[in-house]
Amino acid sequence: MNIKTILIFALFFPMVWDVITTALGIVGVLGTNIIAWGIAVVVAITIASVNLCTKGILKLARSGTNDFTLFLPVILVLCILFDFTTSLNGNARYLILSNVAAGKNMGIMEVLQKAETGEQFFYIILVTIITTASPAIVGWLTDIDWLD
Amino acid sequence: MFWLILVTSFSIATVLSFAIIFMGMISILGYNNFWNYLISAIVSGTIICFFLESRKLYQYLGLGNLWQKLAYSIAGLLLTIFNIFMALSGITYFFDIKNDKFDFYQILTHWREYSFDKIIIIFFIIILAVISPIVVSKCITIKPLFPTYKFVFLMSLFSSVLVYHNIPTYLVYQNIPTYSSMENIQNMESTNYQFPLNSCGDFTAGGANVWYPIWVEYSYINLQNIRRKFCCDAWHDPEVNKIQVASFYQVSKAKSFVIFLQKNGFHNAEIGHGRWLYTYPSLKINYCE
Repeated sequence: MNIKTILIFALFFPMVWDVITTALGIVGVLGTNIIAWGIAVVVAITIASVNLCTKGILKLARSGTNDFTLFLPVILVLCILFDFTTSLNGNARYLILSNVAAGKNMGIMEVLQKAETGEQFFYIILVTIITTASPAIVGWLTDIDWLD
Repeated sequence: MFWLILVTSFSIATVLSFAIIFMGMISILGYNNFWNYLISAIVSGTIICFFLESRKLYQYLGLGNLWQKLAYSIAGLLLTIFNIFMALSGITYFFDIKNDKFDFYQILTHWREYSFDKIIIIFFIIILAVISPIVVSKCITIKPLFPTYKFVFLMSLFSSVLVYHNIPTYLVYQNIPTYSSMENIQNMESTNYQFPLNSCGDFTAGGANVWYPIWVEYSYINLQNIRRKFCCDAWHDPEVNKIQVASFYQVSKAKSFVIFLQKNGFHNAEIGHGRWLYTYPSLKINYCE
């Protein structure tokens, strides 16, 4: 088992957690009814898929063969930013408030201010960075002919 | 794999797009009448179909003449604005207002009370809803994973545009024997082609004809080289595992192009079986760089 396989295996779980926290972040903002969950799951899967395709998108951008050259990287950047925001929201609501549905009208800064210690705050930020980066890293490490 | 992941995820997001526009329509028309639901479904479906077919429509109408291009651009712009407005109304009404009477002032009032991250999240959902059918449309044009009509068959129930635009291509289709003789072979190098071209095949004014594909053995390097040096729209056909470089209805030009490719290092270039195809007018603008 080489280092690549171990890394892919290790980052697979943060990747799944990323999808879950993205969905939780959206539900925390929109509410917890069935429609909100539907929107949250769909958006979370789409975001994770785009992040997973980071290597392919950058490869396509470098090849410069069609009008996706600019369009897809812009979408990728938006998705990464959105993923970070919603994952932070999801992690913070889940770990600080212990209830995703609580504080629907609270902004992320208000939720973060409720962190009991500074360590908890940095832990949440660190977990969010790792989970947000994990789909892109897994996609990068996977030996797939990305443009096939 | 790349295209499959993108198309699948954005196809799911297209359903979200439909749902959000539908919610917006219902919030305006009212929740208490069956006909409102029916009208909302038809309008939402037609808008999604327009964006799903945007790439083909652009190729077919957009570059034809100035008026068609203008009409297409205005329609696209208006539908995008309508789409954003509907999505915004739908989300705000459904999750926060929930009364029967539409009032835009109420939406603005609610938005003033939202936290910054909530606004960001809702805006991103709206952007995703608006762009997802366009991304699907672009992906399946660049990489035809499957015949478009199969993929959007259900959606086509809502849209006359789709029925008109997709079905004939696949109905007027049959295999015919390979070409038998070559005559009047032109020298490709003697003509003034400025490679790379957007499309290397014959130009057509549209209609039914026998088209001969030019195949090259597939490899990633071959595909990249062909796209970079000669024909930007070359694509990998997974059914035969070959690269379709171009299509010609003039056999002599097809043969000439095969010789040209062979001279340029693609020794396995060949002409495929001719097929009856119904085509739309070709683009004459070269957007390949």
